[in-house]
Amino acid sequence: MEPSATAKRRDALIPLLKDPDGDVRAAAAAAMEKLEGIQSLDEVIEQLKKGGVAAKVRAIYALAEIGGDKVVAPLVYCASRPEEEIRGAAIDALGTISNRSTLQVLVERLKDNNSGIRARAIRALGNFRDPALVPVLLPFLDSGDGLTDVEAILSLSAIDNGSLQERFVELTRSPNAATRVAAATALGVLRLA
Amino acid sequence: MITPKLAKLTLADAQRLASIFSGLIRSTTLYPPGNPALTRPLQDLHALVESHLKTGNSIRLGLADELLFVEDHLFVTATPPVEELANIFASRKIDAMIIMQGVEAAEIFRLAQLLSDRNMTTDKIVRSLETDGKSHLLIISAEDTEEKLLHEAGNAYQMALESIRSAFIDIEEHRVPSSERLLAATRQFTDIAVQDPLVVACLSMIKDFDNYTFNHSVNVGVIAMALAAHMKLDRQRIEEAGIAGFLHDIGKTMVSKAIINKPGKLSTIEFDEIKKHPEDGVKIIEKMSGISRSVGEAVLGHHLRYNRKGYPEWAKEMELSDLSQIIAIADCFDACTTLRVYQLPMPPATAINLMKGLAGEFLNPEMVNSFAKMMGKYPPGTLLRLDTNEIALVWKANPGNPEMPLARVIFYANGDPVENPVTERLAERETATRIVAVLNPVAKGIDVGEYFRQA
Repeated sequence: MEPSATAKRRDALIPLLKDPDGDVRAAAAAAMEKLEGIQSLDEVIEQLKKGGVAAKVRAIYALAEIGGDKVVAPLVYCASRPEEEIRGAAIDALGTISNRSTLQVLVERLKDNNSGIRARAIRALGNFRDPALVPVLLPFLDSGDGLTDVEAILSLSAIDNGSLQERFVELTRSPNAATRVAAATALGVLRLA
Repeated sequence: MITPKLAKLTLADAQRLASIFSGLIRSTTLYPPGNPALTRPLQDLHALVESHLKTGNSIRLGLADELLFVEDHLFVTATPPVEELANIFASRKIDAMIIMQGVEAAEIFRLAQLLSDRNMTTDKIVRSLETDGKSHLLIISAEDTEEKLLHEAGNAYQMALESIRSAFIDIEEHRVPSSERLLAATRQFTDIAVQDPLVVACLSMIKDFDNYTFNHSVNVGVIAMALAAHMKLDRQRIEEAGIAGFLHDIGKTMVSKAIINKPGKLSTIEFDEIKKHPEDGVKIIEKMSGISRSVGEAVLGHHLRYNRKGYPEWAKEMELSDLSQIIAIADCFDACTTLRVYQLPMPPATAINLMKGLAGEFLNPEMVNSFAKMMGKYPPGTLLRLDTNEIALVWKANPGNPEMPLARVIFYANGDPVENPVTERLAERETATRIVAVLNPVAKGIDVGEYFRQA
């Protein structure tokens, strides 16, 4: 059943969808979307429990959109699932919400057997902008696979204080074009030491 | 359009019938029922109809190429009343009206009243005639034609999907894939695309996560055909665009499944493998019967990019065909709007905006503009909140009114889901309805593709 507070807000917002002023209509629509997002949490978690792989992946991305503390536990659970599709999507979602309580879960995924999943974990950790992660991500600069090194360059360039400049210059000479692109990009955004 | 059938009604009687009926519709708004200004023409009309129906089963009147016809008489030079009737039919999107044996004057009068009421949608008129329990008047609306086209397109989609699936299996089992069914599906799609490219375009919103490769191949084909038809290419070129789209990724059958199904980005070595698929595709297509050379060229060039900085590198000096560039656009749009293990589907309008950003480098700018124009302000698959708080899913652009597409309401104003959503023209609602927001289906846990698949 709809909580009375939400029902009251809906009742106030719905007539505003017909307001003669366009800004009012837009604000009311945006508020309605937020309210519905909060209300849909239980439904999304249900999809996560009962749906097929596609429904689960969609539900994981939906949780990232909804955000808030309640979505953390189901996402952490999914990040350790055996299905690569579910694990990968959950890592992306954890990166989006960037809740510090999930840092260790993501660090753990850096050891994943699948390089695609490792790359997603590196990218997700980059979103935390935490200097403590520099030594954790540093080894991936040497992978030379044009995948995890790329993600590590991009994540580290957002975190590092400029100390990695020489490493990035070195990586501009990588045989992999994708690595050279990332290194060039990093040199443009890296803070000056 | 309905083809006028041969009948014995004379030209003078046909003209009289149309004129009296047109006048009757107008008069119902001016005089109360029972007024001689209504009863006299109604009696005349009924007598005329009855006399004809003694020798024929029905009288058919409607529009052919926007001109009014009554039986086999087409009014190329119309009198004002005839023109007025044509306008009434056109504005209501009525293709034809059939008057059958046994029709009563009261039925004709009721229909005239309904047609004179501007607030009456065609759908309501049809329903109202049905509710009255009469079966001597039949309205055939253009929307019926649209529904029919959508149905036919859905059948062609299934056929294409099955053909692609078996082509992929054939290759895995070292056989030359058969092209017969694929060509048949393409011909069917082309028939529809030349009538209405938008009907074909909206099928690209059918998504199947578990069968991405087949589903993506068919979607690229249907988008390519819709765009080719919208660009007014000739029939053969539309068919070639479709086949090239269906087969654009067939070379991926030669790539390891571990790479194809990898849940994330690819390493350099893996990507180098993927980059071989256009060439491998051409090798497969060359062995298939009935497929023109330009299809192979289109497949070879679909990743070359507009600026020729794509792959295969050796083909950069080759002429980039219009088909390659159409396939590149279709490929990009479907990839962006589809849920993948590593990617949220973009709302269609967002994908088109992204494509506009890629125009001039990756994609042909003129074709991107053409594509954006075809898909409309609210492309198929866009989720809308209406000012009634209903949530509607755009089914098809409405070229006559880009602000008000054809859509299906999928959630009522109170938030309850609609069990069997039906397509409606938002512009033709009884009470004017406004679109207040484009919504993010992901946050609502809505699988847009599922609605299109079920339809």
